[in-house]
Amino acid sequence: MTLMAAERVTRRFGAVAALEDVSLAIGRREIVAIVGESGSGKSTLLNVMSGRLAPDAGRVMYDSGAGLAPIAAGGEAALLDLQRRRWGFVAQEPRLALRMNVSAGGNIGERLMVAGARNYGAIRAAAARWLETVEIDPARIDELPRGFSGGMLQRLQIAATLVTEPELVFMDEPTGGLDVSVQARILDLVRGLVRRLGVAVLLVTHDIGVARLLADRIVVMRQGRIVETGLADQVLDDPQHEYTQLLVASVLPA
Amino acid sequence: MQLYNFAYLDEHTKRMIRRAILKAVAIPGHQIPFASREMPLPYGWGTGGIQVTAAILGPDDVLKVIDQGADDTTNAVSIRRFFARTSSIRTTTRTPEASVIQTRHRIPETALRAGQIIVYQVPIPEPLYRLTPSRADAARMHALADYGAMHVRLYEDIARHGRVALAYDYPVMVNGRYLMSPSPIPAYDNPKLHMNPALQLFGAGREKRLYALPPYTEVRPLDFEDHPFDPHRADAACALCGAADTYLDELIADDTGRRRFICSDTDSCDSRREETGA
Amino acid sequence: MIALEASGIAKSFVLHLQRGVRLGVLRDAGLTLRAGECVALTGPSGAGKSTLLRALYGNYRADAGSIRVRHRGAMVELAGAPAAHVIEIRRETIGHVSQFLRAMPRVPARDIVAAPLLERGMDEAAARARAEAMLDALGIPKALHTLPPVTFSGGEQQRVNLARGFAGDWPILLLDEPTASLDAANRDRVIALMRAARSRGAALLGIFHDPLVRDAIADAELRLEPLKEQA
Repeated sequence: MTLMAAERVTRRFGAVAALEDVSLAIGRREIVAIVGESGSGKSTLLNVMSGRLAPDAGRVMYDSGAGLAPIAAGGEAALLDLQRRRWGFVAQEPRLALRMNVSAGGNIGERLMVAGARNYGAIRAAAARWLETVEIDPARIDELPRGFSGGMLQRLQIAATLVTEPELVFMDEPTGGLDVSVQARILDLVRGLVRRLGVAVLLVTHDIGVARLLADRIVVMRQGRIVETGLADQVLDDPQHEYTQLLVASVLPA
Repeated sequence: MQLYNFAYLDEHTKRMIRRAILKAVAIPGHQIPFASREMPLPYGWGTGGIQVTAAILGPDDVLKVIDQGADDTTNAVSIRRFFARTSSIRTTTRTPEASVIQTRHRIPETALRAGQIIVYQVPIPEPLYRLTPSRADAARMHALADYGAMHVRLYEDIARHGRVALAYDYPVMVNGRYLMSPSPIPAYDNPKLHMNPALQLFGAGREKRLYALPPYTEVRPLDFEDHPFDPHRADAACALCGAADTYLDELIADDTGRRRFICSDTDSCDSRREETGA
Repeated sequence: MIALEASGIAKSFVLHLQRGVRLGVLRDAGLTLRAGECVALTGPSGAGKSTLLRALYGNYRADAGSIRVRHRGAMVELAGAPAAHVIEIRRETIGHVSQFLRAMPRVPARDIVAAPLLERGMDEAAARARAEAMLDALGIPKALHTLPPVTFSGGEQQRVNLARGFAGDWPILLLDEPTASLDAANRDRVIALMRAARSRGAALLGIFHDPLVRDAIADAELRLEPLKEQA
């Protein structure tokens, strides 16, 4: 059952078409990875689908329980409500997404408070539980994230995003810029949490390995268009499009 | 010879301010921009409050001006004299006798009644200022009633200090819709904002904003269910009148550093002493 | 009762990176697999045995043909089915057992085996218990159950993968050389698992190079021949 769909979206930046007539549907609990090189339009697609960027043409639909409806139809307040309550966003750079002058607990609690939670004890307990879930010592709940390592910051961002158990999480290169060993830990964490919570994920990555590990389905983008899409293992093991074959052939064997 | 128009401001300016006040009353807690004028005193000395007062004063009004609760401080005396000279209205220090009360940093202890107007001097009208310096961001947050981040601040205070560490200018929700700065009144005064029979007007001259609480408006301080709003009050009685239920100022009483507490509201303190003959 | 029915399967690979050369592997391949039976795929190297298995699993996209499987009590078409449907069929109906484990970093052997059970909604304790039992059945020492198999020997990794493949009790099992390079004792363990699967009614289709294994488990044979290159 379709949870979200981009319908024939186009987005230009000046003369450059970052997205050209792209359609993509995501099912409930489905994990979809968009792969492609820099400039392929994958991040633009993520931003358009998450309502952060308006398309020049086409529309983005979401099913909040009463069938698919355009995300832009209810105005800014309705879109913000989707972003705050039903969706989550994990950015590549946690320092820009987190409040670095607010404690770890406050960062996790924020989405709960935005959603209306007004019980300090319950918010704090949830924050402690989530720190433990993302393998950060709950004793550090009152510490500012400034002293956290890159991997810890990313895990904190994941906790701060998933604490409200969103239906859909957008992830933009969630392990980009991290050491390989740190990456593995985060990917494993994301895999487990996503399955347990039953959230749908739209993931942007240039890393085929990340896509294989996390995704049910892979979408390959190039020059603003989707060139191939299918089951993750099918796209990677039996790539049809010339560009996908190049992408798969360029990966160093594990 | 009349050197100035009644209450200093020209009638066009007064009308402009009154229109802004009407808008403010219509949308309780919402900040309305107005064309703040140059006044014959510097910003920070109550230019916003004075303009609001000037716009609403009529010949029959009786004006009281307090600064930190006191009628006899320089600022209060100057503003009272300013209006006495430019409008020839009556002034008073008695809260019950006043029809208009201009105040900086306090709400009188004596309960206000219907028909009275209290005008607050406001330095920073934007309660979201601490969260974002951008006016556009703040306006957007107000428009969407997007105030969750404000609670993060309270959360941080409780996590760090065990309680909300805001002793004054404690943010309030007005009518369940707008977040509002009550001006730098002590948190102890916040409950007096709630369902007050008087009309409450707030003027910020430098920031060119005014806002209002019509009589009997619901005003709730931000808090948590399990950490309810609990304003601090010095655990003492007034050394002059003996009141144990008023907001107190702390004084160093002598060369040995002995401390005394006395009422911040001089009129309420004087009245009590007259009644009790203390 | 028919568990899987394939017909007219064609598969070729276009290698864009090698100047678009087209490699034909399967043409008009088909078979019928009944519940409780085991069919061995035979034929020389390059005949497309693994390709057929992968096409039946949906791992390779068939160019033509029909793949119908009994899923939730009805025959459904797998070829060209939407991704979500293929995932559901794999979760409940078709299992694929290869000799190569795709080890995930940091995930212990026990959890790798339990993963398909959890995806099917089994509760965590039951899935873990079942996973432990399967690892025991394949002779993986208890001490290794809670370790990630990345550091295991090739044989140990293979047996973890077999444990995962047999843990799910899928009604259809596709087996790609399950016993390759196992020692005799472990080979016998796998044969026992396959027999147990058959006797609970599973349909098995496998590639078994070892004639001893083939004779021990398969009751029919489907022989594939390499395609003659067409001009």
